[in-house]
Amino acid sequence: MQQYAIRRLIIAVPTILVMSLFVFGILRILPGDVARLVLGEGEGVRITTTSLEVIRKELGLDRPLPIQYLKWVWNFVRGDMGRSLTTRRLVTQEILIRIPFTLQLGVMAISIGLLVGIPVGIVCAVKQNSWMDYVLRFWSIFFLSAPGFWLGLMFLLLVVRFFDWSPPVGYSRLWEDPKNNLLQLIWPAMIMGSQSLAFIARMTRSSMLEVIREDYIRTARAKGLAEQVVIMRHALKNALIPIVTVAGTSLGHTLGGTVIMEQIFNIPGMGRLFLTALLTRDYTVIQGVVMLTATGFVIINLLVDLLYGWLDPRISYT
Amino acid sequence: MKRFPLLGQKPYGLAFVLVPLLLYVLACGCEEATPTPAATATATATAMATATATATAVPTATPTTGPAATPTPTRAGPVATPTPTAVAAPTATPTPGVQPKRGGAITQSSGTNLPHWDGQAIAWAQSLSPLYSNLFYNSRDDIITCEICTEWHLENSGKTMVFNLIKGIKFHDGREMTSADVAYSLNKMMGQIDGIISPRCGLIKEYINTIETPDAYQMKINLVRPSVMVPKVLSSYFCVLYPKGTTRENLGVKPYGSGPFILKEWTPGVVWKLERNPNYFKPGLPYLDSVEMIMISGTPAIMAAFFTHRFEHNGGLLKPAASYYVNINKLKAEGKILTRKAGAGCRPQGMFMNNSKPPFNDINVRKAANLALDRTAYGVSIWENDYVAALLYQADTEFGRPASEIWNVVAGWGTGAKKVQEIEEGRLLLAQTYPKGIDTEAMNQDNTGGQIITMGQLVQEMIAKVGIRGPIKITQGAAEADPKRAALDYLYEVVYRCQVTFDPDEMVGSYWITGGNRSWQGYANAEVDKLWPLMSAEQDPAKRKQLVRQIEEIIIVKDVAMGAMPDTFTEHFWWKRLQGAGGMGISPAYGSGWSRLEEWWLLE
Repeated sequence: MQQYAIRRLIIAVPTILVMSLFVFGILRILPGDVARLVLGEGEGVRITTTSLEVIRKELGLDRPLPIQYLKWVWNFVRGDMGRSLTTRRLVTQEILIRIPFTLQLGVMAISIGLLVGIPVGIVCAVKQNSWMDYVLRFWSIFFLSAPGFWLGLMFLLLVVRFFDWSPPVGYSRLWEDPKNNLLQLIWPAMIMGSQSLAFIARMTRSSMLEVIREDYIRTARAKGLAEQVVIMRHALKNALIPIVTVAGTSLGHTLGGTVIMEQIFNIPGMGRLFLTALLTRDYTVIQGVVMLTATGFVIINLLVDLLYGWLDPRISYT
Repeated sequence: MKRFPLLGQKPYGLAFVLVPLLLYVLACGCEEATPTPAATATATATAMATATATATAVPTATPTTGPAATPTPTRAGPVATPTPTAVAAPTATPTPGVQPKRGGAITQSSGTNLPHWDGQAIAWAQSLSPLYSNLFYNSRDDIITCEICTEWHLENSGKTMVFNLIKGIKFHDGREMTSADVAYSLNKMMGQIDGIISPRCGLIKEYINTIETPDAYQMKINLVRPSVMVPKVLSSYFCVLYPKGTTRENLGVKPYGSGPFILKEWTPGVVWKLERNPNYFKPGLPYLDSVEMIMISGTPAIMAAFFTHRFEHNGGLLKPAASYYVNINKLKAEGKILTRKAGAGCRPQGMFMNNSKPPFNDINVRKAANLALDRTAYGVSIWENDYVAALLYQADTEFGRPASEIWNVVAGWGTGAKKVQEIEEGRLLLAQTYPKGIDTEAMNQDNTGGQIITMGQLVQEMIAKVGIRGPIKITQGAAEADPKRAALDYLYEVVYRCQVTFDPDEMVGSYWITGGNRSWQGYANAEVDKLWPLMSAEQDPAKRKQLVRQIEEIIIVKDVAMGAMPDTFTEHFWWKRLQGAGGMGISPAYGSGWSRLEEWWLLE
C-alpha cells in the first residue's frame, strides 16, 4: 500500500503541473487589465498610462509570460504562492485566514451528508417500495434537483420573514466564539449537506439493494443473526465501496462549491476569496486557490482509494 | 385502510409530501410585505454581483416620479466657491432639541473590500474615511470648508490659495501634521512621489501649478487659473492626508491617518474594527466609541442582516432592488428607519453620439434619434419608476433646471400622445435624408451587472422606430472602451459619464469643450468654449447656475450633442437609533463628511 501511495503521488505531479499551466494560461487570456483594477477602474476614474506602467512593473506583469510562469511555479514548489496583486499581501496569508471556514463548512456538510444519508439509504433499501421508501426518495430527488443557491435564499427569506432573524454576518472562529461560528455555519452546512445527503442516500440505497440480495446475506439470516447485525455488519460493509467513492467526490465538490453559499451567508471563506480575486483579476490569488483545490482533490482521491483496501481486504495494490 | 397504489399502503404517507409542499407554497406565496431576495438574488448569486457601492443604482418600486409627479426634492447645497471660510471645519451640529450622546458602538456594512489603506488609489474609499483627514471637508450639508485650517484665503486674484494650519493635529502614530505632510499628500495625488497619479484626486494636477510651504503651518497652492475645483476635489473621501514619506507599501499594512477613528483590528477582506481617536483635533468628536465594519457582499445577505438588526447603517449598498422597498417603506412609515435620498453618482447619461462622424455628424439625424427616445419608458424600465428628468444635470438640483421645464418642453421629452407624435416627427426627419433608414452600430461598455448593456438594448429598440438600425458591440469595460472613445472610433454609445466632483467645471471642461481631456463625442462649439471659463471663474452661485444653464441649452437642446436620459437616486438607510448619519451629498459626490462617522451617535 505504501508503494501504491507513493506511485500515486508521483503520478499526481504531472497532473498538478498541467493544471498549473492551464490556470495560468486561462487567466492571461481572460479580458481585463489587472493594473487598471488595482488602481480601481470604475466609472469616473482617470487612469494614466504612466500609472499603469508603474503598477505593471511593480507586479512583474511587464515580464514575458514564460518567465512569469516559471517564476511562479518555482516559488509554488517552495511553498511561496506569491503576493496578491491587489493587496500585496502573501497569498498564503490570505488563504490561511479563510481556509478554516471553508474546511469547516465542507466537513460539516459532508458529515451531515454521511450521518443522515447513509441511514436514509439503508432504510430505503431495507424497506424497499414501502411508503417510507417513496417519501425519502421524493425528498432525496428534491434536494438533488433544487439548486443550492435557491435553497439558501429561501432559507434566508423564511427566517427573516417569519422569525425576524438572520444568521450572524461577522467573523467568528470556532475556537474563539463557537456559538456565533456555529450559528453562522450550520445553515449553509445543512443546505450543502442536504445535497450531499441526497446523493449519498441514493447511492447507499442502490448499493445496499445489490448486496442484500447476495447469498451470504441469506446465509447470515438463516444462521439466525439479528436483522440489525445482518444489515450493519454484513451488508453495509460490503456496500460501502461505492458510497465511499461518492462521499470522497462529494467532499471535493463541496469544498470547491462553497462560493455561492459563502456569498449568500456572508462567510469569509475561500469561495469568497476566489470570487473577489476573479473580479479583480488577482492572478496570484486565483492561481493559489485553484492549485490548492486541485491538490486537495488529488489527495482526497488518493485517500479514498487507500480506504478501499481497508474496507475490502480482497483489494490489493500491486 | 384505503390503498394508494402510487404512494404506498398508508394514506398518511401523503402528508409527508403534502405538508412540506404546503409550507413551501405558504413561504413563497407570501404577501407583499416580505423581503424577497430570491427575485434578484438569483442573478446576484450567480452573476457574481457584488454589493459594491457603484453608481449603477438598481431599480426600486417607489411610485413614479415621472413627468406628472411633483419633482422629488433633492438637495441643492450652496456652490462651493473658492471663497474661504474663516474657521476650521465645524463641530457637530446636534439635532434641535436632542443632544448627541457620547459612547456606544455600531456596526456598519461595507460592500466593498478594502485591499489596502491608500485612499488616494482606491475605487471606493468611504470605508476608510473615518481614519483620515482631508485638506477640505464636505459636511453633510454640502458645505465645503478647510478641515485642518484656522483660516484660509485667496490671493493673487484667486490664483493662490493660502492655508494656515491648525497646530497640534496628530497622526495616529503621534507625529504632528505640518504643511510638509499636506504638500506631500497633494504631490502624491498628482503622481510626483511614486509615479502613480491618483485615479480620483489626480484631477487637481490640471489646476495646481506649484505648492509652497513657507513654514510648518502655512501652505500656498498656486493655481493655473481660479477655480472651485481644487476644494471640491480635495473634499472627496479619496483625497486623504498622509505623513510625509508614507509609501504605498506602508499603506498596504496599516493606515497612516489623523481621523476621528483609529484602526484597532483588521481581518483583510472580512472585518475591520475602529475605535475612537482620543487625540482627535476636533473637540468633542467623535461621539461613538467604536465602529465595526463588516464586509458583506450580496444584496440578500445585506438586506437580511439589515432587517434583523445585524448592523445599523447600510454603508455598502446605495440602493437595493425594488422588492426590498416594500419593507423599507414600511419601516420608514413606522418611523423605525431613517433614509436620505441623493442624486445618483454619474451623469449625464444617455445616448452619446459621435458628432464628428457620419451619420451623427448630421444634426437632423441626432434630432431624429433624440425624438425617438422615450424617457418615460426608459425611467420605468431601467430605474423601475424611481427616476427624474435630467439633461446635463438632474432636474431641481444645484445646476439642474426644474423638471417642469424639461418634461413636455424640451424636444424628445414628450410623454403620452406627445411622445407618439415626436417619434413620428423623428421618423419623417430622418427620412428626409435617409429614406431607407440608417444602419449603424452601437458601442456598449460592459459593466458589473450588465446594466449599461440593458440601457443600450433599450435605446437600440427605441431608435429603430425612426429608422436607425444596427447591432450592439460590447466592449470589455473602460479598458477597451476608453481608447475607442479617445480616438472617436465609434458611432454612438449608451452609457453614463462619471466625474469626481460633478462640478460643471469638471464635467463641461472634460467632455464638452473643444480639446477637453475627455472630449469623447467629437463635439465642438465656440460659444460653449467661450462660456466655460466664464462659468468656471464666476463666484456668484446664481450667475454661475445661469451660465451652466446656457451651456446646457446649447449642448443638449440646440446642438442635440447627445440624447440625455432620466436619472435616478441613491438612498442610504439606517435604523433610527443611529443619529447624525447621512447619505452621500449631491455636490460634490463622494463627500468626506458623510463617511467620516464623527458626528454619528446613538439614541440609546
